[in-house]
Amino acid sequence: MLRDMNNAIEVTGLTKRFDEVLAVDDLSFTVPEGTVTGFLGPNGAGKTTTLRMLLGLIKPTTGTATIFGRPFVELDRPFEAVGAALEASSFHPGRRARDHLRVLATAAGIPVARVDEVLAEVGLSEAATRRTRGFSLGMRQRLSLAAALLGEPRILILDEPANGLDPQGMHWLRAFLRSFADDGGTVLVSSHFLTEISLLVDEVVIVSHGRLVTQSSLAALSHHVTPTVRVRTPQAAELRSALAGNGIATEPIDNDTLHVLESTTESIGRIAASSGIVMYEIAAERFDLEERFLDLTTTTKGAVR
Amino acid sequence: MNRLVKAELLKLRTTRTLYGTIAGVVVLVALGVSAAIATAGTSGNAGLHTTEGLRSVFGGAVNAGFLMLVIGIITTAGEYRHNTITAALLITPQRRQLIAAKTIAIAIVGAGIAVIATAVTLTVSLPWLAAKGVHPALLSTDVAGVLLGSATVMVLFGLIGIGLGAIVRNQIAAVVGSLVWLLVVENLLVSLFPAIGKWLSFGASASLIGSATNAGLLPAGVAALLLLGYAAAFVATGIHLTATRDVIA
Repeated sequence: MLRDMNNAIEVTGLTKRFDEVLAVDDLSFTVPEGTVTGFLGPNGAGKTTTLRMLLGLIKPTTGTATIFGRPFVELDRPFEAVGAALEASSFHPGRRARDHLRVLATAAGIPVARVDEVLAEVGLSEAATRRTRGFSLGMRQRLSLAAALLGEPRILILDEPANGLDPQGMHWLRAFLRSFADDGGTVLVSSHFLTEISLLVDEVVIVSHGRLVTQSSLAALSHHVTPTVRVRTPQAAELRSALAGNGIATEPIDNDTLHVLESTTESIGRIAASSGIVMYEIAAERFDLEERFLDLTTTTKGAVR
Repeated sequence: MNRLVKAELLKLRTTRTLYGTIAGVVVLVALGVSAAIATAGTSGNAGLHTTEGLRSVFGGAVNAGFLMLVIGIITTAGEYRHNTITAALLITPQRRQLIAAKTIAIAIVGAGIAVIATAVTLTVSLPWLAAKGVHPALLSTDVAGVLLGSATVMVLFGLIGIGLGAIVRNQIAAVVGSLVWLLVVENLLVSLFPAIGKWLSFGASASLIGSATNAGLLPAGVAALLLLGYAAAFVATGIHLTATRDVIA
């Protein structure tokens, strides 16, 4: 099979079965080089298992996952190809932050000077000589990221990096990843919240129940959203039949509220007026990626569980 | 490989575990040697002028073997306990090499601990024995032989710990389980059924520190090979399982 030279990561037919549970089911997607790709899905969708298979930590039942065309474990100096921050708690509580990085740098043959560089990059210089026991979740996230950056990798893989970050931390992470990508780096970042990373990503890979729901650009994803107007009226039934007469579909929300699909406030107002229907509220629903995401991930049911 | 061993030694030096172990070795060995000298010649214990009595003094260092077992377990199982195994494997995906490096690092630590245990033994015992008019020949089987035997036990128990920790992965279960096994099960088997007990790690260790005077134990050379065999089997199994099992979290 010919490989697309522009893909930093290729996942093909990846499947993992843990005893009775099919955690990842025939999953295929690609991460183009130089993009920030969001890896999205609800908790338990198989995101972490997929990332761990990609990094050689979990052996796939079938399928392959490659980085620049080769499995992670076959890469020469893998930390120069990929830096990964998988969870924010993987430090010895009694080891100092700087020592944690020194250990990794020693194993990698990376000069210790680089340790101080990455500590500064993630804003942990002050806490460098503290034992990680007292670190907040946000500091742990930063230390995980520092470890990922040690080898000056071309790809960053981050698993739920936004967990535990305060708004400033989130803002910082966003700016950091953007500049990493602007310098030609590739980012694969998982999250169970689309809105959390929607300002960050170019591409999205959405999974649910271990299967691919869709891979698309963020822009294309938002085009698929049906424009919806929310109306509150004491004459819901009359309004629905009036709209239906004009070929406009509706969905009742409760007794006096309904969603009008693929229409505008103007035409709904006109139709209501001509039918003498009273409306208390009428508003175009804010375009909501999160709802689109929830729709996508809740309507796809898993196969054999 | 050199880098990986250096990294493992750095791991050991950057937490308090190693320093706690060294302190434990000093205390345990000093107490063991003191108790042996203080009780020698009383209530059925051999006197200090006998081979048996001297060996029980210089064999006190062997207690450091239990601490080596524990630090060996922590070196592998601790990576799972704190989930540092993930960070380690992202740098070194060659899992066999990672465990091999740990094995070498713990052998080095074991040798260092043996030197400390030997120094403590000699520091406590020689002046005390001299005061009692006992002047043992240092380069004899009863002194150097026993000290070398206990050094062997320390290094090999460290390696058994490496293998055991990699196999069990649950640090607390491995530490508690192995200490109960050694101190209760094997200890009883060695005294109640020496024909079986001499083939176990406890019996082999007893032989290596010269308890061979209570007959029925294997000769020291055979015991050393047996213990080496146990260590090799544990390490090989640990390496194999580490290489084949998923690292989930």
